[in-house]
Parts: sequence; C-alpha cells; structure tokens
Amino acid sequence: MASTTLISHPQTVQQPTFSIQSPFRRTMRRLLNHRSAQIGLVLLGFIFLVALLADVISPYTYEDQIREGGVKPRATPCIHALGCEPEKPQLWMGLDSNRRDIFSRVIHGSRLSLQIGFVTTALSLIVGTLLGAIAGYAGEAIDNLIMRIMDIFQAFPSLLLAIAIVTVLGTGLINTLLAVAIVSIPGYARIVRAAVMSVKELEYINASRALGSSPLRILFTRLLPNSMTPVIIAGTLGVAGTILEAAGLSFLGLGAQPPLPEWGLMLGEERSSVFSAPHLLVFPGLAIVITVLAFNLLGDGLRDALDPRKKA
Amino acid sequence: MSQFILRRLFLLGFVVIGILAVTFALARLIPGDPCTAMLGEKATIEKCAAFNERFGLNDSIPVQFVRYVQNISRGDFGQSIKDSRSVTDIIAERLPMTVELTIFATLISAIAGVALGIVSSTRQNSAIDVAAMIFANAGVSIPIFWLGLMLAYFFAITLAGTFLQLPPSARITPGADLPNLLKLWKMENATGFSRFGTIFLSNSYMLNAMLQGKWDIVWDAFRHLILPSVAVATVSTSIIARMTRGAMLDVFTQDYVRVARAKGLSERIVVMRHAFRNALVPIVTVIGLQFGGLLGGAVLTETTFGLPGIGTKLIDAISSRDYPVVQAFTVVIALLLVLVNLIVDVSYAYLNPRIRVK
Repeated sequence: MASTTLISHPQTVQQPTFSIQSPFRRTMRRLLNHRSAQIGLVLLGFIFLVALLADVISPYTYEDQIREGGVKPRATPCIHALGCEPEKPQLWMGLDSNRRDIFSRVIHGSRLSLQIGFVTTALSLIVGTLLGAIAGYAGEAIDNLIMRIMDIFQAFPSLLLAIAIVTVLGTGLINTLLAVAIVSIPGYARIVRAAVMSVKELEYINASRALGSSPLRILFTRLLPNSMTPVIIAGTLGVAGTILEAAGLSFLGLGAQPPLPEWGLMLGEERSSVFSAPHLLVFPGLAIVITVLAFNLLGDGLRDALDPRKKA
Repeated sequence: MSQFILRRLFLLGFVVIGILAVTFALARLIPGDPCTAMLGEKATIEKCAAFNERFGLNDSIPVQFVRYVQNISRGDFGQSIKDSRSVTDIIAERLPMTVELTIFATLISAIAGVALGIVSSTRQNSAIDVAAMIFANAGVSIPIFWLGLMLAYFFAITLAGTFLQLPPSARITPGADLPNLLKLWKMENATGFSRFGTIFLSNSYMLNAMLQGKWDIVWDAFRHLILPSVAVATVSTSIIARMTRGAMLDVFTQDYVRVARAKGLSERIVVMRHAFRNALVPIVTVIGLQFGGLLGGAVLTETTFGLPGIGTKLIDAISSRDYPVVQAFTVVIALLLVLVNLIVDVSYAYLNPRIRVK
C-alpha cells in the first residue's frame, strides 16, 4: 500500500527527511536532545507543578503559626519516617522564628518567584525590544539618542540602579518588579538592535519595501519576527537573572515585604539565625538555586538549539 | 594610541553627564516635595522655607543641575541628613571596604576563572572539564548572599578548631587597635583631597595596619576578607571560566597553533604562548565586564557578613531616608565603574592593535 503511494508521488521519495521538518520542529528536536536543556526542562516542570499545586502539597498556609505538639519557634525538621516522635507535627523543613512551616512557605514561594521572573522579564523584554527595534531600524539620530540613553543606564551596576529606583518608588514587591525590569531594558534593546540591523540589510526587506509596505509593517511583520532568536535566548536567561536580582532586593529588605513567602525575604529575615538554626536558611536558598539553575540550563540549551551554525 | 584614549575620554564626558543627570533626576522624582521627603516629621513651613533656601531648591531646575555638577566636581556631596556631617567624609570611610572586597573578588575570579578555563579547554570533555562546567553552571545560579551565609556557617562552625576555620563576620577581630590617621597625623582640619585620602587610607584596614607595621592585624584583616571575597567572586569565576574555555577552544582550531605543534614546541608553550595570548582579548573584556556585577555583589555580601562598606551604609541610608547619602553613593559607584571600563577599553586596545585603528 505504502509502496504504491510512493510510486505515484516520486518526488516525496527524493525529499530527504531533514528538510521536511519545520524550523520549529527542528529546534524542538535539538532542544530535547540537549543534555542541559533536558535537565532544565525537567526541573522547570517540577517547579511549575509545585507552584500550581502549592495549596494541595503544602500542609499549612504560608502564614499559619504552628503550636500543636508543643513545637517551639525555629524547631528543627521533624520527619516521622526518620524516627521523629509521632505526637509532634510532621515538619519537613522545620519552623521559622514566627512558628511558620518553612516547607509550606518554600512551596508557596515558588509562585512568587515564577511570577516575578516572568512578569519582570516580559515587561523589560517588550520595552527593550521596541526601543531596540526602533533604534536599529531608524538608524542615525534616533538610534544615537536611544542607545546613548541605554549606555547611561548600563553605566550603573544593575543592582545599584535597581536599589536607587526602589528608593525613589518606595519598597515593595511591585516596585521591585518595576525596578528590576527598568534595569534589564538596555540589555534587550542592545540585542534586538543588533539583530534588526543585520536583518535590515537582507534582500527580502528591500523586496518588501519595493512592494510598498509601510515602515511600521516592515518593522512588525518582517524585521521583528526574524530578529527574535537572540531575544528568546536572552529572555530565558533573563528570567533567571531577574529572579536572582529580585531575591537580592528582598534579602536587603527593599523588595517583597513580610509576611510574603518570598525566598530572598525569608533569607533576609532569618539571616541572623545562621549559626543557631541554619536549617532556616538552607531550604529557601536551595529553592532559589534550583529555580535559577533550571532557567539557565534551558537558556543554554536554547542557545545551542537555535544556533544555525551548530549541526545537530 | 593617544588618539584612541582621547576619543574614549570625550565619549566618557557624555556618560558622566548622563550619570549625573540620572541621579539628579532620581532625587527629584522622590514623591512629595524634597523638604518633607528629607526632613520627614520635622518638616514645618518655616523649616521648609529655610531648607529650600539653603539647598537652592527655589531656583530653576537647570540652575540646580549646574550647581549639582559643580559641587560634585569639587568633591562636595552635601550633608548627610541623619548624621549632619559631610557625605564626602562618609564616602571616604566606607569606600575602602567595598573597594578592598571588589579587588580581592576580581583577583580571585580572574585567577580561578582563567585557570579553570584553560584546564578545561586543554582536556575537553574529560572529567575535569565536565566538573568545571557543572561548577560554572551552578556558580551563576547561586544567590551570593545565600552562598555567603552557607560559607560562613561551614568555615566558622563546621570547621571550628581546624586550621581552616575562618571568621564569619566583621572586618577585623573586635579590639584590634588601628589608629585614626587624621588624628595620628594631626590633620583634623585638613580639607579637600588630602582629607579624603587620609580618611580613605585610615579605613583601608590592611594598608593602615601595614603603615603601622602591625602585621598580625594585616593577617587578621586578610582572613576576614576571604569568605566575603569568595562569595562575591563565585558568579564571575563561573562566567570567566566559560568564556576562557570557549576562547581557547576557538584559538586551538587556528592554523598557527597547528604550526606551533608541528614545530615540535612543548604543549605548555603552545597553550600559554600561542593559544592563551591570542585568546586574551575576549578574556580581558569579560573580566572587565564583571566589575559592575562584583560591585553590586559587594553591596549584597557586605550585608551578609556585616562589613562596614558602601552597601551596608546604603541600606541604612535608605531606611532612614537619608537621600543625599543614597544619591552620592550611587554617583560614586557609577563613576568608579565608568573609570574601570575605561581602563579595560584602553588595555584591550593595547592587547589588540586592530581595535586602536578602527
């Protein structure tokens, strides 16, 4: 049956299999075969699951103060399977100074960190992409104006500029998001500008112009879609960076405010307990490491998968 | 070469004006009028009138900006509202800590990163290479303020009693006696640069102790600096290691490396003299680019280790709404970064003649 079809359509036989694959499928195949991308995706899947099911998994809310079984603040982990007395409540990661269950707080923190990472990156990505595209496409005076402003913003260490912006806006989670987003804009603008400038010289852009397309149409339907590759990579790595930066601000007391279970804030609140009750600090920190590592690994994988010079 | 430096200096002028404009604008953007924002509850109508008069807030914005630039170029950063003393003095007291930390971290990350990168690249895909690259991936994912806490616990508690035990916080052991050089040299009334320099030197604990010939304090201060520097350096070490590995692997494919091997040169000379020298430009660039991150990292790590630097004072100033201090610190750090970037630019123009000509 199959052979008759092949005979009646000989050209399908001659088509080598790799050219049939769409670029998207080719990229996905490369990505799924990439070792660090595999690890990154598994970790991310796990974190997303934890964030989605936070209310189901965690035994308490992130604000509950636990008094049952005579447990004291900063109690060490108590796992029944490992021989902890059954009359005490099961505490996977122990209690913090306010008698709150660290396990529940770490789990609920995943929601916050993912939201922080995605919202901040989306914000700075959109603004940065627009600025970079305009600069790269318009060229000359407009390009100079936009990029010199970006230069000035990049002259500050990013964390310090974020701190200065938070000082002006006031502390709090939303303001931290804004500050970290503003600080990340120049990086994206630079990347998009470079990509747009190289795509701009290609013939199909000339063709599009000759067909009478308006500059805006060329920008949004031709230039930007074809300049997205480096943005996707930078964006993925950017999520990792923003989660770290926001956690840093919260650690300093400038970001998320109590009682939110933000991991950086949890570390900041308990940092004086490091020698007396180190378990208060181990788990929120590990949670940050795993989440950030997941995005970094995925970003590395994407970079390799999207690089046309690399043959799979 | 001198033309290249002149051109860079010209561009630098614009960036410096830009930095000043941003910090000036940020101070104006603080909600509410500056007087109530800065004096807080103490602000009455009369006090505010006097305040506005004193700080020239009744003048037009351009006039205020020009005066702001003039003051800073004279090294005058105004008065701290909380401590009622010169912000310049506070900078001179706090900056040495941050600079010491950043320099140590730069050294650690440059040496460790380049060494790791070279070793990985010469043994590509070996166990050492894989381990180094796993470290490099983890290193950029660890929040350094957390790493600092974990290091402090490990080296101060777990290793207590062994020769590896390290102090987990503070700049020197309390009670260590270092003189205030302003008093020692009878310069309390000095002004300008000599005052700044003396306070700076006085608070550069290691230099001050060396001047006094107290080598035990130099050693003590050094030991206190190890853990924070390692924490700050981790991210940069990872990035530099990856960059070095990549640059070396690129160079290894070049014909002149094959020629060098064909000539029968030892592997050491091929790697260090032929490959590494030519891989230096991207490596120096990436080391230079780390400086901003290291400065930011120093701010975080000072809080972790309770070190008296710019970072801890900055957080303190923010919570007490001491805006002149926040503004001044932001300017000083940004200017420092610009200066370092200039040095990096010039140094790789020196390393690579093609950049000079462009």
